[in-house]
Amino acid sequence: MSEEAQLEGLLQEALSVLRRAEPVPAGVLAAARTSFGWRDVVDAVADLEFDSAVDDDDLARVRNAGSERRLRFRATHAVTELRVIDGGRRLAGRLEPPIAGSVILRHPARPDVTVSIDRLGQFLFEELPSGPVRVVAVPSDPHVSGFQTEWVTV
Amino acid sequence: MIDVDDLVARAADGEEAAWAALVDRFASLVWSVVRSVGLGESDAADVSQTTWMRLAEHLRELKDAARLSAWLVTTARREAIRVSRLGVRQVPVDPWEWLEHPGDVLDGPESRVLASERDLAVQAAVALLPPRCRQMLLALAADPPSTYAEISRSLGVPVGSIGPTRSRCLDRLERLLKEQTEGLLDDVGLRF
Repeated sequence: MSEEAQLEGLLQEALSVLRRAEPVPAGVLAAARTSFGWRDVVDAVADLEFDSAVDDDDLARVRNAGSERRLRFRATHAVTELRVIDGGRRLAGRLEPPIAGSVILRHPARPDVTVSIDRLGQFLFEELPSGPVRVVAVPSDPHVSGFQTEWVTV
Repeated sequence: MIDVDDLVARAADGEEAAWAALVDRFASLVWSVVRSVGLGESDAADVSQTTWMRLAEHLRELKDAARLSAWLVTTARREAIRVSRLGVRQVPVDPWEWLEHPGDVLDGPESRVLASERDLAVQAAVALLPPRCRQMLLALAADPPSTYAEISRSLGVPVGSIGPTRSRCLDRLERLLKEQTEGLLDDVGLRF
């Protein structure tokens, strides 16, 4: 095939891909644009290192089917464990090591919700909206640095 | 690719217009990835937004903007798979089956997922084209396709130069597609 014919074939393929691609809904596009306003590069971000939705082996997944989803996030000096419970309606969590202070549940379409951390490092959000969420740990001691989980879809 | 490097750098410095330009170029790629995992529109919208929220905080780490598309595809697909695994949602194609044993599903009904890998590479390559080339392709893909006279008006170039521009754009697209096909295989294929 001549080079020209090959490029012509590529053009036709590209046009066909572009025509077949589902248009991005306007709301999805708007949400992507406003995502920029949510960036927070001040507090350290704890990376998601375990998610029972994908990291449990098959046996554990079958055993836990329909029950809670467990997530673990790791920052340099702390681990945050989250459990999505009651069919996704509530979010329980624990900080290791425990810190004194509060945690904020952040969602791009909802006001922040703040609850306090108990002495064992545990906390509970009674209402969990679906969508992208993150938990921000705010120590009451200003000398202790705060941190936040990365965004995750619940 | 220079202008995408520039957009990433400027967005990392907090420039909202650069971010909006990145969204315009890559939103369709992210959406295609999420939908190809089999999520419904509402879940797909959530996963798309999570992907963009994460990107906003990872711009500085994307030292090589050429990897942006691979980063977006990997992040969006992983997140879509998490959500598809939550149990209450419908997944017509099991993405793990394909990711773990791509060879096994070559001839099955899932081959449309494999085909869409090529689609994603094409979309990524188009997103990385210089603005003029991208506009031209989008104009040609419009239904009905724009005429040379219309393209000439919207790009602000004489009709006579559209032919040569078109050839240069196709050369560019061919190179980008080659890079993207390799990049997506490296980043998405092997890292899962």
